[in-house]
Amino acid sequence: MFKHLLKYSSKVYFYNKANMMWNFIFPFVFISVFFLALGNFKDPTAEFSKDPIKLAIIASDQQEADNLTEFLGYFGEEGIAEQAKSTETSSDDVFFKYQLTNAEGADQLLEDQAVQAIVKASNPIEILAYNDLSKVKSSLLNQFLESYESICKTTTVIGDRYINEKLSNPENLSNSQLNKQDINTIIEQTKMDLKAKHEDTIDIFSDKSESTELSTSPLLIYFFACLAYIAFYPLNTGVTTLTEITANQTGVGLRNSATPISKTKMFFAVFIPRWIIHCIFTLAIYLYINLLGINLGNNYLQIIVLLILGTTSAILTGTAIGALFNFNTGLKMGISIALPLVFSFASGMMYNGMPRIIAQYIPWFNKMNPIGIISKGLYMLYSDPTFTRFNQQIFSLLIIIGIMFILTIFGLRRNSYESI
Amino acid sequence: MKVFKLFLQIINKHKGFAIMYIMIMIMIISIVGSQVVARNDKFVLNEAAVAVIDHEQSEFSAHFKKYLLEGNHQVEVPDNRDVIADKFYDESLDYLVIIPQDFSETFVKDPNSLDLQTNSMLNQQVAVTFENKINSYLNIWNQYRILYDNNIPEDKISGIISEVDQIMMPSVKVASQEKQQSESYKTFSYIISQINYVLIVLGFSIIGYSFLVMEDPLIKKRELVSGYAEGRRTKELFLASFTVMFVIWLLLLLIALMFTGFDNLTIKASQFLIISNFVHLIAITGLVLFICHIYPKKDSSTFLGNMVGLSISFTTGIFVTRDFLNQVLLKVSSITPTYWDVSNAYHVQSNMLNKIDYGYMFKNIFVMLIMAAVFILLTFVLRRMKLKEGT
Repeated sequence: MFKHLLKYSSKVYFYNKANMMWNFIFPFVFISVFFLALGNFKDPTAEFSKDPIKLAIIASDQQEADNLTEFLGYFGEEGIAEQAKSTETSSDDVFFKYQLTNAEGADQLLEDQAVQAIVKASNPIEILAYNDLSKVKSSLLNQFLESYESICKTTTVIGDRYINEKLSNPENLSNSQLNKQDINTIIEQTKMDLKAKHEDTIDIFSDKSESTELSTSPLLIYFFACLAYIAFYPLNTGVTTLTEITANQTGVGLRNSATPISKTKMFFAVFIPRWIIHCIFTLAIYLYINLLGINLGNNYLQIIVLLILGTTSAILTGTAIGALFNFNTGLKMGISIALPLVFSFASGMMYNGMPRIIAQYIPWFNKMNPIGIISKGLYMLYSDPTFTRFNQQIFSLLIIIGIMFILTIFGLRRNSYESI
Repeated sequence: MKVFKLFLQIINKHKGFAIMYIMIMIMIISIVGSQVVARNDKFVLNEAAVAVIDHEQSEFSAHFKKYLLEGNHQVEVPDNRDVIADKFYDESLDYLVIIPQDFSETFVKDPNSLDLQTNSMLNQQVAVTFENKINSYLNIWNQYRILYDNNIPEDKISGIISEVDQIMMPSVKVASQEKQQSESYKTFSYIISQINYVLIVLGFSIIGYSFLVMEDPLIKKRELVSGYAEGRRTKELFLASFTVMFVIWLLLLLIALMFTGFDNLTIKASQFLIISNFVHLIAITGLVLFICHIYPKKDSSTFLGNMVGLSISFTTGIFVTRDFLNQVLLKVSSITPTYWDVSNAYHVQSNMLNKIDYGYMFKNIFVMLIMAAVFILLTFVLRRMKLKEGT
């Protein structure tokens, strides 16, 4: 009898077109859209090189302008001509295209949208106007100009310090036979020397460029949350499982309740096929992500276990909601869609800074958020060489599964109907 | 107004569902809004959780620590590998710097051989930002090292520290910012674009669902038999849908204004954004009603809202900045009204107040208006066809 029920409920589930559409096609579509949308995250530098920031530089002081263009030359190219605009730049590190011009010319270039910002090479440097400059680009421009300013300020401050100390030293002063012009020459020479020294820059992280393998790109962080969301998505399946065996929810439930089969047996007969189908499906999505070229790490077995537990926790959370609450099916379905959405939002799927905000203000929520646990588990597998912390995530999921299972069984046994 | 009232009664009947969804969406908008406002519209790294363990405890290392913590949130951690790793995985720590005991000594000898232990587990971007920050700082000190022939005198350090503070202070002037008293309109433009996601989800989940309940053959036939003309019924249904959406939109707009300041209502760019968002609301309501006619399954309306909402939000640049979006997909997303409204929000964000092209924004609003008209017209055509078929 149990075998028959298993076979029957599997068929019912597969023949339901809405189930196929929302539980199987939607995750594939969503992952594909997600992948296509965030594809450029892989190499944002290359994206900037395709569309560098175009600047018009006005010189209030020719020396300042030369210094600035020389500095920008390390990160970009001179010239904003049309042919340069239409073709992609050869180098991957071209962040800027710039042109020295006068105030009127710069205004005209900005008006014609040939440049995105007018920069006045003065002390301090000034962004006089900008147009069509996105937040990311304006931030990048600001950072580069601040770096330049910092170099200029360092040169000036240290130059002044050098001169002050030389002149304030009585021995030096008494021995000094220099006139004002000579002193000025020394000042300029010192500044030039210091500037030259600046080229010997310190980079204490140059050897570590290869050692950042433990850190992850924003793309992967989004994908951890996205895969966790898909694994937890079948929450609604848990809800529908219960509606089909609860007499006061659907006609099918009423019919099933009238059969001489225990509720627990009926529950397992409906639950097991759906659980198997969804686990397989979650793994298919994982395979699909790998085929798309997103490498989530080499701990395949652990990832599979994590995803299966995630899907199990989702379905059992759904069955617990279905068993414990007596409100209408529509509201339960609404909850079953809203919950993964809230959990995924808290895990950073829509806003990648979210997990830290949650950790800061409501840390307990992070510990009970199943999507957060799955996402964190994936992240730990990717970055932590030991499995200690990953095992803690598995343990957390097992606790959730245990609680939800107990609540489901409790809810099933508790039900009594005044009228159906 | 029987149909209009009935529509509202259906929403009232499902008010638990509607309130739950509205509250969730308000929560999302509020959290995102508060974070954006907290950043004060500066596109810099969010306040990071940073721990600096200073083993040297010198004037130099103390200043270095102060510099690293500036504008960030300090986390106290012991120098214990496991505790630190736990903090990283708990997401309560973004970046860690351990200053060694021989920090000053090694710096003077050879800055490039400094053994600063750093760690950033969550996000490569955080690591890169801090690495640049550390390098800039050490490069400035390196100039002093060169100046004093690799031996900075103890008594000079206080003076150097005040000079380094002066050097590190941002000095690039953005003229436009000085002319404009507030840039809150940019924050407003960001939050108002986030509203679009909420409107799409709520549109399908609440309006779409209630509309499909109203279109149930039993309810529809009962009203038609009672002498209610189909045309009048359609008008009232549409009116009710737009009214409910409008009320939800007003609520969300109020939240956006609460976060960014009501003085935005006096800024022309914000006014245009509000108009644009309102037109988007009409277009989205039209789209919801149109899709509900093509796919009239009330049990699927929430799923549909979820799918359409997430897809549109990821492809039009609501969740992820357009700088990183796939350009082909972005172009494809222009078939949705949301693309045009988000374009207006981006335009305001990317331009100085006096450089905003209101003609461009108006053009985008016009495109949305056409889309709204097309969706509504197509919906009417579908209804008429169904009426003729007798379904």
